[in-house]
Amino acid sequence: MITNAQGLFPVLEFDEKDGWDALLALVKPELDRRGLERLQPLLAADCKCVVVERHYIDRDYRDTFSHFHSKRFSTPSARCVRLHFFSTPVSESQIASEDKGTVSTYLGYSIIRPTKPNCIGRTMLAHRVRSEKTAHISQCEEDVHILGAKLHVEGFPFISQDADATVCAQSALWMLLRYYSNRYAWYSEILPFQITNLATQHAAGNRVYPSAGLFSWQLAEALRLQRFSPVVYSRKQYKDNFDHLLYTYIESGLPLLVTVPEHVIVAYGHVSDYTRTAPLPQPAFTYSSHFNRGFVINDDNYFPFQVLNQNGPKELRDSKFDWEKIEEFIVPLPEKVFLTAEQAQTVIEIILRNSVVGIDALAPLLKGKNLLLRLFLTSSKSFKRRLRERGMGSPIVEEVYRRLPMPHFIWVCEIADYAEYANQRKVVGEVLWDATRNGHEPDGWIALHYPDKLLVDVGAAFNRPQELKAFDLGPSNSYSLFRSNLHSL
Amino acid sequence: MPTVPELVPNEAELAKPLFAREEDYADFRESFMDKAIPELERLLEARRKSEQESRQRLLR
Repeated sequence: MITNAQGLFPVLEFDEKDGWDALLALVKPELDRRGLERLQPLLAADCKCVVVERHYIDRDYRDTFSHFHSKRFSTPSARCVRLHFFSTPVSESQIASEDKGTVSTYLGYSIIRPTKPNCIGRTMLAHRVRSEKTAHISQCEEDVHILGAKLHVEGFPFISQDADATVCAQSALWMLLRYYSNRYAWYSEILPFQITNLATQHAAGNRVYPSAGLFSWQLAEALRLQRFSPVVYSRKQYKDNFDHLLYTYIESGLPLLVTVPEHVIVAYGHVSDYTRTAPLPQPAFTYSSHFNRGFVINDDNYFPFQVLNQNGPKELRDSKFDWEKIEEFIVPLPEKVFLTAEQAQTVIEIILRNSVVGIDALAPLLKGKNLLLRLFLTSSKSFKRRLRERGMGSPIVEEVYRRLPMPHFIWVCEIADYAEYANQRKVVGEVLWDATRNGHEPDGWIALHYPDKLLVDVGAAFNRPQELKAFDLGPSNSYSLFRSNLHSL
Repeated sequence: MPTVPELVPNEAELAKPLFAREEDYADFRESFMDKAIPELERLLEARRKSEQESRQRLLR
């Protein structure tokens, strides 16, 4: 049923008579079949109603319009259409009155640009529309204003390339940077033309528009100019642990640029299968990446929340790629993180195997157990915020951690019994390492917590040389793993 | 006021120095460096090569 079809805010309620093709007719010429085929597979299961907002002025499209489309002889409209999706039928008056039931059924929006061949502009959809309902993702939030009402959506920003002013490289950068500016005040919002300018500061004689693409180092350079400290990982150079490192950064709540042949996408979550068979005892440590079976991605050629499975697509909505197709990833590290994941892992493993402070020397309760490690970066603020709810297995550990001066970012390597982690997500200890150190400093560890022992550097805590002290803990319990970097669905 | 504050009440009773002798601490540091440096150098080389490869990777 369509209400107010000729008005500024038509409402389409899906029923037997009016399906998704009715939306196509209602929003033409901006929305085309290609655009509909992107939205429909993602939304069909949950969306029951669409509110169309005509004559919407989108700042991102207006930016590329001003700098590129307006310079053509035949110009598209400067305005867009914004589609608002709801999981129940809604009316204009219910939205305007911010009716609680209506507000809670909001699934997000998609801006339809008058650009061909790709009309899907800025899009923000709630994670509820995902087909894969169990995942761990980074997400940000936005307030959305329509008809004088304020709606709210949490998800990950998406935009498709328009194939002229922006190609996949700019789109992926836009998605990543919009996530950061939405979530953290430290990063300013950046528009598509500014992104192109950032990435083509060293264009080496190539024209900027129409875009013929970018080299991946230009993406890293654009991130550097936006106050990040990017690092690049090539599969060829990290043969043994490339997928594990990619997972580790995602587990750290850092969305990444991931390149596949001639294309780049954004990865910002993982799907883990905790029923996976435990690996046989081996000299190398087992990490929680063992459970990972897919990365949650935004590919600008498709739609948000795709899953890039280890062995390729399992269903129609999955990414067509598999992990082997991933050639490289670029991590937008915060500027205060000097120690990278592989460096942190190296030095932490050396400590855990050390004859004086290692597991065999100081953690008799862990001897003979099938251990699992979980490595991630977080802020000490977030880590401390969750001390009380987690309990940390011992009141002494909780109290010491709460008071201990720490750097802004820390690497955390949780130690767990494999079965307990797989079944209950519980851990028995952790290593905390200063992320502002370099890998060659043996005194970068802040604390080392085993079930019955806590070692703490009380020297660095007060900006003095390392001074390690040992606390005997007595009986202690396993406790919940740290959850804050990612949103668990 | 002490120059180094107490981290937790009764810290002196709850915590003991990990290394009783300076020599033991020096040995610990040396052993760490011996193991860490070769691996960290290898990782640094992998980073350099990754950055070189990114100069050839065109995305469109």
